[in-house]
Amino acid sequence: MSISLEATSTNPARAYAGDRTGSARRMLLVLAVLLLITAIFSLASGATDTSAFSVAWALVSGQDDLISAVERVVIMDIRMPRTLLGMMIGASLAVSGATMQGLFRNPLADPGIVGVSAGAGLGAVTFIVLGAGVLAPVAALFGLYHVPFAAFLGGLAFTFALYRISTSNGRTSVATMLLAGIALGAMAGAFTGLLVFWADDEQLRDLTFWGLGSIAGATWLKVLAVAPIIVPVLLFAPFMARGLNAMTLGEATAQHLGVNVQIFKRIAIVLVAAATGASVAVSGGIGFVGIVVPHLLRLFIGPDHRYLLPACALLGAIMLLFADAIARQIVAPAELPIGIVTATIGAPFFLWILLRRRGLMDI
Amino acid sequence: MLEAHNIRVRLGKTEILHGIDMAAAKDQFTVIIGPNGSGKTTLLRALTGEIGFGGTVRLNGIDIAGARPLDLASLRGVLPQSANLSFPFTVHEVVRLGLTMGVDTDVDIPARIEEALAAVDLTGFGGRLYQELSGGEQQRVQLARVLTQVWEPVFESRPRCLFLDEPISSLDIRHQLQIMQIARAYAEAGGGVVAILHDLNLTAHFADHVVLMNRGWVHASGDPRQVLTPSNLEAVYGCPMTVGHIPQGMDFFVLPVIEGGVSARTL
Repeated sequence: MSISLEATSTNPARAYAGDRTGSARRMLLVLAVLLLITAIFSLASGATDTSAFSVAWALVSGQDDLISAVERVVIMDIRMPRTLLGMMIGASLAVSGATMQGLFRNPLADPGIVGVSAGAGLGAVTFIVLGAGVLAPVAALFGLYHVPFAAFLGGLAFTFALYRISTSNGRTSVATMLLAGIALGAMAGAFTGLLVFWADDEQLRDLTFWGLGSIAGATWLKVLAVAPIIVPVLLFAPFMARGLNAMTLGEATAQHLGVNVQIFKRIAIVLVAAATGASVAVSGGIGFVGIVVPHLLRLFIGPDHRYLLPACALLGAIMLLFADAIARQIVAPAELPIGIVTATIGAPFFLWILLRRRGLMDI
Repeated sequence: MLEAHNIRVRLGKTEILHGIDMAAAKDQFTVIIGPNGSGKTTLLRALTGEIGFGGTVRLNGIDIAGARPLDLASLRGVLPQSANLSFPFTVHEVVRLGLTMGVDTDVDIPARIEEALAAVDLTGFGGRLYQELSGGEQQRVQLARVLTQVWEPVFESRPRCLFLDEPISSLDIRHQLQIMQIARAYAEAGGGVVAILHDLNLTAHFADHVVLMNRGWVHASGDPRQVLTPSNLEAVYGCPMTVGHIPQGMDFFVLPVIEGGVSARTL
C-alpha cells in the first residue's frame, strides 16, 4: 500500500475544518497495528494452544526455545497459510467492494450485487458437478486447480458481459450496469440451481460447504495460487483513488477534472473481477465484507479513496481473521464455514448502517 | 479562445442542434440564453465534449475531440447544473476534488480551498457535510470546486475558460450578483467565461457577448444591446417584451409585457 505522505500539511499546526486527512492517517496506523496483533493471535490459537507472545518471538527470532517443534510445524504449515489466505481474501473483498461502490457511485454496489461473485460461483459449480462427467478432460488438465480456475473465468466472463451490455458508444451507464448485474446474477442463480439438481450427494455437500464460504482448506499451494492476483491488485488500488474520488461527482465531471473515464472504468472493472474471482475461487461466497468494511470506514475517516482503499485492505484483513477465529472456536472441535459468521455479523450491521445513514445517502 | 463550427447533436432520432456556429473570446463573458428546450445545455455539453457531436470545437486552437482529458482539465473548468454526491464528503473535500489532477501542485492546497470558499461566500462551511447543505449552497460549493481547478484565469500565458450551466438558478439575489461578479472578474483578468443564464436582466448587465438560441439554432448573437431587442426576444420566447433604459447604474432592463390586465386579483 503506498500513500503519498508528502502532500498537504506543510504546516501541521493548522487544522482546516472538514479536512479529515490527519485522522485518516492516524486510522491507517492504528489499523496496521491491529492487523499485526490479530494475525499473531490467529497464528497462536487453535487445537494446539500456544501463547501469542511465544509465536511472535519464534517468528521474529527464528528460535524454537518458546514453542515445540510440533507447534512450529502446526503454525508454519497449517495456520500460516490460513492466516495469510484470510488476510488476502479479506483485503481483496473489502477493496473490491470499495472500488465497485466508488465506480458505481452507489454505497450498496458490491461484487456480490453486480453479479461478479455469482458468475464466479457459476463457474465453480459447473466444474464441481460436471468435472467428473462431461468436463472431465478439462478438469484433468487443470488438476486440483480446476474449480478455482473455473470460478475466476466465470467472474471475468460475467464482468465483461456486464460491461458489453451496459456500454454503448464507449460510454457505460451505471444504472444499466446495476440492473444488468441483477439480471445476470439471477441468471447465474438459475443455472447454478439447475446444476445442483443434477448433483449427487457428495457433490451437494461440497457445494453447500463451498457456497457458504470457508478458508478451512487453506494450503501454501492455495496461497501461492491467489497471491499473484490479489497482491498486485491491492498494491495498484491506491493509484485508482483520485479517479474514484472524481467519479463520485459523476462520469462527466470526472472527465472534466482530467480523468480519462472510459479507460479508468475498464481498468477498475478488470481489477475488481480479478480480485473477486480469485477470492471466490479459494473461499466461496464470503459475504458482506465488501460492503460492511467500506461503510464502517467512511463513518470514521470519510469517503476519500486515497485513505479509504488502504484502510479497507487493512480492516478487511482484520475482519476476516476475526470472523475466522469465531468460526474455529464457536463449535470446536468442529468448524463453521466462515461465510456463516460474516453473514451473521455483517447482515444486521449492514442494516444498522443503512438505517443510520438513510437520510444522508441518496440511495 | 473557443470556436465552434457547425455543431450538430442528435439524441436518439431527433436532431437537437442543427449546425451551431459560435465563438467565445478571452476577456469576455459570453452568455447563452434561450427558452426551455432550445438546446442551451446540449450546446454546452457539446462544447465541453460531454456528448458526441458533429462539427468541430476548438479551445485555444486544440480540437477537443482528440484532446486528452488531462490537458483539457488544465484549460477549462465545467460547472454542471446540479451534482448529487453518493458519499458523505465534507465541503472541504468536495472543493479539493477540483485539484484531483493537480496541474499546479506546489500550491498550498488547504489554503486555496479556504480562499475558494471565501470567494463564493461560504467561509466556515468547510467542515459541513455537502449532502446537508441547501441547493443554493451546494451550487456555490461546486463553483468553488471549479474555481480551484482553474484558479488563475491565465495559466502559462494561455487563457483558461469557465463553462457554467445555470450557475445562479437556485441562488438568492445577493449571491446571484456575487457569482456574476466572479464571472466578470474572471473574464476581466484574461480568462473566458461561457454561461447559460435565464435571467435576461443580469445578462443585459453583465454579459459582453450574448448567444440567443431557439429550437436548436442560433437566433442572434453579438453585443447584448443588439441581441436583446424586443423583436428578437418576442420571436424566441413567444411573449411580447419591452426593453427599457434607466440612466444611472444599470444599463437597461427587460420586462415581459403582461397583457389584458392579468393579475392575481383578476384570476
